[in-house]
Order: sequence, then structure tokens, then C-alpha cells
Amino acid sequence: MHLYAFGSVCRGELDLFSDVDLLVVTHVGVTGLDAERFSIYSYSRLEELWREGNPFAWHLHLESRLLFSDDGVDYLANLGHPGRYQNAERDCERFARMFTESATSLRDDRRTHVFDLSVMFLAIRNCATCYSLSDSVTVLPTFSRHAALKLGENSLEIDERAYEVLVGARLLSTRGIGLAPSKDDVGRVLLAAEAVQSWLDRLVAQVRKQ
Amino acid sequence: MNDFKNRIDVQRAVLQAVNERSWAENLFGLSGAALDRWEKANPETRGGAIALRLRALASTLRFLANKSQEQITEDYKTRSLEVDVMLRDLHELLNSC
Repeated sequence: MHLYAFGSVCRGELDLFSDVDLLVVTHVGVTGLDAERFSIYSYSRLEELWREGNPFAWHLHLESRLLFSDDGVDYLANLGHPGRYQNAERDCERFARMFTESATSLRDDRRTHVFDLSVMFLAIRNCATCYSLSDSVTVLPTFSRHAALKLGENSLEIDERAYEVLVGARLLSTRGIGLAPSKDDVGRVLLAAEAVQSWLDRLVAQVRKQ
Repeated sequence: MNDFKNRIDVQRAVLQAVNERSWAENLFGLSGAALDRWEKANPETRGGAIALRLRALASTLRFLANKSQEQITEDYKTRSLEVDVMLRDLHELLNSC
């Protein structure tokens, strides 16, 4: 078994809401671990992600830190560089669609406001990360929670409060912490949604050109 | 039900069903922490049938999230089919309470 830390703690991005992301690499069939506390992958699955150049493989390659190895070997370091990331267009399109669908649900359905805001934030962040991985010339790969704000001239420009509401909703939906957004908060995000969609569409267009 | 988008859709469907009813605080997600918060805010649900069904469904979705890119096993296929049944059961339970 190999245990790694990854995520914000390895980037030094600590705030009130930080937790420690932990990767467990183990053999298929090993059970008894809490999947909410650990990201659990088999050796074979990770090697597959490495070959595919999957964004998670690049994230681990660039940022993870070994905490425990039962054979004295840094397993991920020995895998070397992941393959070239080739699915940026597909993935960015998928996240752009996810944003659209969640914004529509936010507009039409009061029952799932927090969840929709949370998924909108997830789409923004993941699209930004995938874009940063695809463009090795003008921007460094970023896996930050705030990846959308770290793309240089292609960063998302958004009302500050609207962005805070999206971040807050993600924390509320996944970790159960914080306050539920007000109607005004939801309204602010809906006002910002069109501009965010345009930004996502621009990232998709740029990725297509590469 | 076998990919990321479908899991999002399932979660949304669950929250729509649960939040159709009036609660002191709505359910905001299907993570363990979100379910803990919901039960705390709505003490009448604690340990009850709805909460148990939600936790079981959430656990199945987490299993599928972990395994979605792994080699498709019989267990994965079975649990995938279970989600639809669990959703139907949840609807029936919510309608009957």
C-alpha cells in the first residue's frame, strides 16, 4: 500500500475550510477504507490513468507527496510523467454543458439551489483545470479550488459576491458547512451565469484550436 | 447509470424528491457531512427510514464513483441497477410518510 497527500495542503493553499486530501493506492479487493475520507485507487487503475494522461494523474504527478510506502518505494515517482492529456476538448465541453444544465435547474427549481450552485462551481473549476493542462504555452497547470481565477488573461471575470456564493455552496453541499445562500445570492449568480457561460464557451473554443 | 453526469442527475433527482417536502432546512447534498447536517437540522429524521434510505443510496453512488472507470465487475453492474430501485423506493417512502 502507498499513501499520498495531494490537493490544497501540498500547494500551501490553506484556509478555514481546508482539509487534507489523501490518496490510497492498494490492490484490488482491499476493503475497509472509508471512501469519503480517502481517494482509493488500485495500482492497475492508476497506471491506466497515467497512460491516458488523465488530469488526476497529472495532478498527482505534479503535486502529491508520499506519506507511507510499505515497500520503501515512491510508487508514483517511479511511474514517471503521465501521457499527454488528449481529452481537453471533450472534458471542457462536458463541463460547459454541466454548467448550462445546472444553471437552468437553478433558475427553474427551488428544491435544489445549493446543489445546483455546487455543480456550477465544480464545472467552472474543472473546466479551468482541464484548460490549464491543455495549454502548456501560456498558463501553468493549476489544480487549485480557484483554478478559474488563475488562468492569466483567460481567467474568469465574475462578480465577487457571486463567486463567493458558488464557493460557499460547494462547501455546503460537500462538507455541510456554512450558511445557505439567500434569494439575493442566488439572484446574483443567475445574473452572472451568462457571462460565465460565455467564458466557458471561449475556453472550449480555444481548446478546439489547439 | 454508469457515468459522472448520470450520478449528478441522480443526486439532483434525490434532492428534488426529498426537498419537495417542507423541512426546517433542506438537504443540500448526499455527502455524509451533508446528510449529518440535514438530520441535525431536522431531528425528526434522525435514524429514521428516510435517512437510512438516503445513506444507503449515497453509499451506492460513492461506490459507483470509485469504480466507474475500473474494469466493470458484476458487483458494479448490480449496484448500478440498484440505484434505480433505490430511487423508486425513496419516492414511495416519501409519498407515504
